[in-house]
Amino acid sequence: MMVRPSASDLKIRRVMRAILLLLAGVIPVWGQEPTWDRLINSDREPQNWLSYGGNYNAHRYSALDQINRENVRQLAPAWIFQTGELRGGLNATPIVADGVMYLMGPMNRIFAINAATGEILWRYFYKLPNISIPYQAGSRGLAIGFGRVYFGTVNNHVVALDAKTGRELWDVEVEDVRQCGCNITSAPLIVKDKVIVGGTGGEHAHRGYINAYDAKTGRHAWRFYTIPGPGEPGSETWDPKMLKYGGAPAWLVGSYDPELNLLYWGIGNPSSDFYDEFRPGDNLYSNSIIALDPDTGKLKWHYQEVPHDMYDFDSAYECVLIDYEKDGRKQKLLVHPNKGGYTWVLDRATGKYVNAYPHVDTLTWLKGVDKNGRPVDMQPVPPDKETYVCPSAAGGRNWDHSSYSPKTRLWYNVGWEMCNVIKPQKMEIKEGQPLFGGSMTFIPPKGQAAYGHINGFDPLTGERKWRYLTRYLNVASLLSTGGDLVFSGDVMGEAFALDATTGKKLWSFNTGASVTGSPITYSVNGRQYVAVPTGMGSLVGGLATTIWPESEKAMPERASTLVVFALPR
Amino acid sequence: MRVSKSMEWRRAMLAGVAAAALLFGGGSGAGQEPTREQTIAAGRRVFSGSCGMAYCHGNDAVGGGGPKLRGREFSAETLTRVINEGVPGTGMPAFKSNLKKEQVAQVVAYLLSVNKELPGAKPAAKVDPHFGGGAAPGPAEKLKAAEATRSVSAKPWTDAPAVSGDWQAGEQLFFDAADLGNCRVCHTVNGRGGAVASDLSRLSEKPPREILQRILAPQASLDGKYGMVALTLKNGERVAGILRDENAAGLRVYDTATLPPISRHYLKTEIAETRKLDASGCPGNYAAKFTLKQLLDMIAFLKTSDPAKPAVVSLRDLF
Repeated sequence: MMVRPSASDLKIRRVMRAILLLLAGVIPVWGQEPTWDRLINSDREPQNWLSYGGNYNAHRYSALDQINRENVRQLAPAWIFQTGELRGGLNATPIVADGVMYLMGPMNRIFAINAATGEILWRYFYKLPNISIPYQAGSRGLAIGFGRVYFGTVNNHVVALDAKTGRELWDVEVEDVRQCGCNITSAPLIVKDKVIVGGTGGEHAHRGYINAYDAKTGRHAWRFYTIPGPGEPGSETWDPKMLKYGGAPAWLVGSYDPELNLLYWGIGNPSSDFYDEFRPGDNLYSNSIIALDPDTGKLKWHYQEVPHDMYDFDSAYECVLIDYEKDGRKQKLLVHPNKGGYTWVLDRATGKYVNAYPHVDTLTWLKGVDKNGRPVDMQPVPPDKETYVCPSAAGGRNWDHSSYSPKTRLWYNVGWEMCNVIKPQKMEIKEGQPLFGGSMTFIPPKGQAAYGHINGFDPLTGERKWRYLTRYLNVASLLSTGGDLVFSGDVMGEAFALDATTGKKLWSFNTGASVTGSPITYSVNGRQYVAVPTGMGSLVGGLATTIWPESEKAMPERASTLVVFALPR
Repeated sequence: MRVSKSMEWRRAMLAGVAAAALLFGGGSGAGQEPTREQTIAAGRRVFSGSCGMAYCHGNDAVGGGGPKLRGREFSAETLTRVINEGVPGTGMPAFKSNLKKEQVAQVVAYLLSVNKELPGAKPAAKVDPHFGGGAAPGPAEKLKAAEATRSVSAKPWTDAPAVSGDWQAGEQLFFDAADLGNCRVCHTVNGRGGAVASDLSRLSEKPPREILQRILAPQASLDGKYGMVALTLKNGERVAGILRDENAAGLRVYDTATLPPISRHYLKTEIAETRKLDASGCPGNYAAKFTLKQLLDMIAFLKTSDPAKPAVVSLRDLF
């Protein structure tokens, strides 16, 4: 029988750990809650949702099980929150700590909300200059730690607020948005005493990077360029002229393994997206997974999934860290869905290839992978000609994230069966200006209708345990729970829950607005809530009407609303 | 008076140029003893990085949150001791574990070399730093005066090689995205760049020599709109920065102690003391950071308001 430690034991342990960490000089002494210790061990407190991915493994899983397969049918709205800003919908992952929800609406509107009632505790609207905003006005989220709220702005600043009052503490510009054509639309990641932030820019003449700032002072700590400088290793994979303009943005959020002290980040496509004659070579570190030392920003290893991308098949999506156990063998894996409809599995200590498998049915751009996981027979996309490629540049799925349940040991991932006709065209290269290099037209796969699905996979082998066919293409993240449920929502406004072991739909609710963000779950005073962001904010959310014209008449109006569900009392 | 001020300025400029030439010319040959000028230039670099921040001794040692060191008489012995040991009970830390012995000696050499005031440093607001004395002349007068000055000083340069600035190289340098500490992080030119300090688009109207002066000695051309304040917080923390905005509840400053600049907000209730500083938030290390050719390129860029008519700026325009 396991003996549960008493509260005072736990307190002593926590104090001891704090002292040890302080001696090691790891955690900031100035901080308030939540501390780094809490952030990195967030699985111990499932009542909270402390970081973007739910934990630092990007699992988007909560052990909460009050809402479960047996009672989910009773799930009903508890409160509803409006951000009041429709430009950009609601993409964000809400963050919850100790009964307070921190939510970033579009145009960098930030709210602290009583997570049990929806009452506003404070609000902070970032003052944006009157400039054109590249990419999107919506943001995918913020980070909290040390009594502060950290976020990146759509005009490319990193800002820290006081989490108690919403007061601005510091604000630092990453680079003039007018110069780089890049900005920040994703959440920062706190690692120890640093706030680490990626940015957009893969459709502009820009050199991608990841920046780290001292979480206390805002001072710049390090920058990792996702394209090597002249003479650096990897620079030989580019035409020297493109080293400054080759894109490769880190536009989503990384993961972190504290045992290995490695920070993982998925890197986006090279610029220009389709026209490739500017950039012969593999174009490192575009379409790669990189592992960095979070203290210095130094590269530890890299693995490129799509060398010399011509289809806009970013590797920017989440790096899901899974400790995989089978037949007594333990493997520290990094499972990574690429935009091209293929999932790569790596050894996350070394970056060595372990396996790769398709997570969609319709693929034309490769014949398979070789023993090192490198794509075989990649489809050429010649300039000024139309080429049919599957999946489309919108992806075998889009950015909305997958989920891993350590309970079912299944990895839940969305798939889209949709293709496009790509026509690459040469463009003039000018710093900070768009560099897309062609056009694409979305079409259904040849000889059949387009369709979408949500799957439960064995994360290592890719063996599919179940599939749920979606009505249109699912552009919301997945959330799995200890109640053996997978939550998500669709563009027609339906929030739903699937059985995590069979994929059977168990519950749905019409929220009245497209679900294109990332649902979470948390609990306050013993009551479990599921929060579903709604409102069209995805760049590709409107695809449904292109592929299924009849969906247009029923497509919900714009919104920016968080709908929070709970079981009736 | 006019000539002597101008001579003094030229001397200051030459010191800057000597520092620039260090980089421009690739430094002294290996194994050679550094000259006194080289030691001073090296000391200036160390000073800019460690001591010259606005909340310490200021650019060019003109003072900031800490005491002014320019224009004062010190012995080498005193300076060495204070730098190594610090001054207990004040903000002056002991540097002996941060700086090498050789670096301390370089800083001492530099500080001994700045025992003269910067030309026109005080009172900065009223005196034209360029020519000294009286009310600031208008642009036309300035140009005329520049011509006059040049006729006095031009001779030694008539034989100088015809090095001239490349405005496009200057533009690249100004906006180089890989440099987190260059001009564009604070200044805007033609709609691009930061809003931390003055918009430099109209600098093209100024003579090249004045632009060089502003780059190398920003202290001498303070712009009241971007004035610095030193804050002492009730918790004992001290911050200096360019005042960004202020209301009844609080204020924001751009902290330029490290670059990129950081906007910081403070509540009035947190602040024990606010003091206006007669200092520039601009790092004064450009003589050491840029080569002479790069400075020429940058000035050519700042002088070029219309890319169709690129400005020609040569070495002789600077002195």
